Amino acid sequence: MIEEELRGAFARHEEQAPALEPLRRAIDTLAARRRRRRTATRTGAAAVVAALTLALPVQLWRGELTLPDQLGGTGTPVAAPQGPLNLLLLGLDQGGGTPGPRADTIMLIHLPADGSQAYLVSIPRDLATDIPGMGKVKFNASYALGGVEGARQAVERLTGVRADAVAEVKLSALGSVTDALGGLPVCLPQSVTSHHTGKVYPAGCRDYSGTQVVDLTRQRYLLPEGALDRDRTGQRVLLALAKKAGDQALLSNIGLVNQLVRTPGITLHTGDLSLLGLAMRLDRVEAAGIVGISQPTFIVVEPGATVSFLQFDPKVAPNLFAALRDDTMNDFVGKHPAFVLQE
Amino acid sequence: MTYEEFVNSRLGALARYAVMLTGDQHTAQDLVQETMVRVQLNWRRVARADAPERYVKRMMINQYVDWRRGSWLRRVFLRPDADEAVAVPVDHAQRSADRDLIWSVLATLPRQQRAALVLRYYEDLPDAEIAEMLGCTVGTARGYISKALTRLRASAEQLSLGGVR
Repeated sequence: MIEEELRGAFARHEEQAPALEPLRRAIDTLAARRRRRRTATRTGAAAVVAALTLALPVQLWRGELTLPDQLGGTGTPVAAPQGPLNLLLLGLDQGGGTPGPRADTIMLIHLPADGSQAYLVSIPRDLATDIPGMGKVKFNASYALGGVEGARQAVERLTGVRADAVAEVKLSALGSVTDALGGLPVCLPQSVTSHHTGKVYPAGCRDYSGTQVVDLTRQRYLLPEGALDRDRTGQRVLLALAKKAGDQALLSNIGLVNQLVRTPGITLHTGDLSLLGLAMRLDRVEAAGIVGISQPTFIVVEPGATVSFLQFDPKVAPNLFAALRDDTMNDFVGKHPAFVLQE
Repeated sequence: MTYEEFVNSRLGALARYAVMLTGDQHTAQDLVQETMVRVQLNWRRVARADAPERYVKRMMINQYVDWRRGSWLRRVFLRPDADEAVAVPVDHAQRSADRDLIWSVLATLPRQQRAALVLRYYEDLPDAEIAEMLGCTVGTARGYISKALTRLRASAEQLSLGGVR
């Protein structure tokens, strides 16, 4: 019987198991190395960089709120919001023949209830979406036509997740923030040649100035996967931002915060959320706990159509969105490690 | 349970389990290593699971099954299918060559199918738990097993009729 043969084969090969002592040492060494990398950015990897755009905690002070004890101030502590949180980040660029700013970067930032991690889920701007009364359009048309609320609703129709807060960030603001932080250590998996300036940004990790970050973040034409690679670059820049802000213990540096507060081009829409509470939640996330998600997409060209759209993989996207809704992103990532942005 | 206690009592079993999944010692070592580093760094979450060992084994399966994973699986692609069974012209040796034949055919199975076989015939799990470990329906899990067995039978017949090896 083949079944018995199988059991036999398994049993016979047990002796091939690797030796335990060296294995154990290797595990401990590797784990220690990764843990060191993690603690290096632990100091508040602040506010997922400050909400991944710095916008959120920065705006705290604009609202004339006092800093709570936990963040180094003396005001009355505010309770951090409970439960999972979803923030929508819209990266805006100007030019290219459109009158208003375009939302080139659309990213949902999911903070699970347990607070230890943050997931960045990019939504390609060329993704097909239906806007009631408009029919099938590209995803970023939702912002061009309906502004912040239009984009928020489009994301909700797509994912079933309603963003608790929305941040609009102009590319120029990203540059100012980068310079205020003294540059960002961005890691690129492949070299990027700028279509706009001709500059070449080599593969690997290096420090980038504000101007360079802005240029880098705009690139898609010369990248193998175009706008999708640009979305990945965006995630990498946010990771760099998180690390840098963590290293500088951003939230305890009032001078720096004051400077960042004046960054023009960042607008926040938080509705009922307390910014202070939000910042406290974000402050619990370590840079190493930020997980970029990049899911597969297909190009759909309809017969006779002049525009082509992107579509998510129908086998993956529903699971991802369900995980966002049910706050089970940890399981999703465990099952689909290939979609995690590799550093 | 602390991480130390978990490793002391379970690392051996996990290492053997990895051999069954990957089919060779080096890949098994990489698989255990990568999984256990993540277990160590996220121990609190693992310890919260109802059955930590099962949780870790599931992590290992996920890591193994996902074909687009990082470097260690790519190394598997570069390796020949399995160790050649050495044919020695005595009955006894012929028997052990036949036995290793199963092992080499196992290496040609799609990963999900192999994982399903390991769960059924090495771990002795019922279908429902196999499905849970693989993150699929019971029907799909049974499908993996029956497809894998069919293929094993076919290859075994073909090879033994050929009479080489």
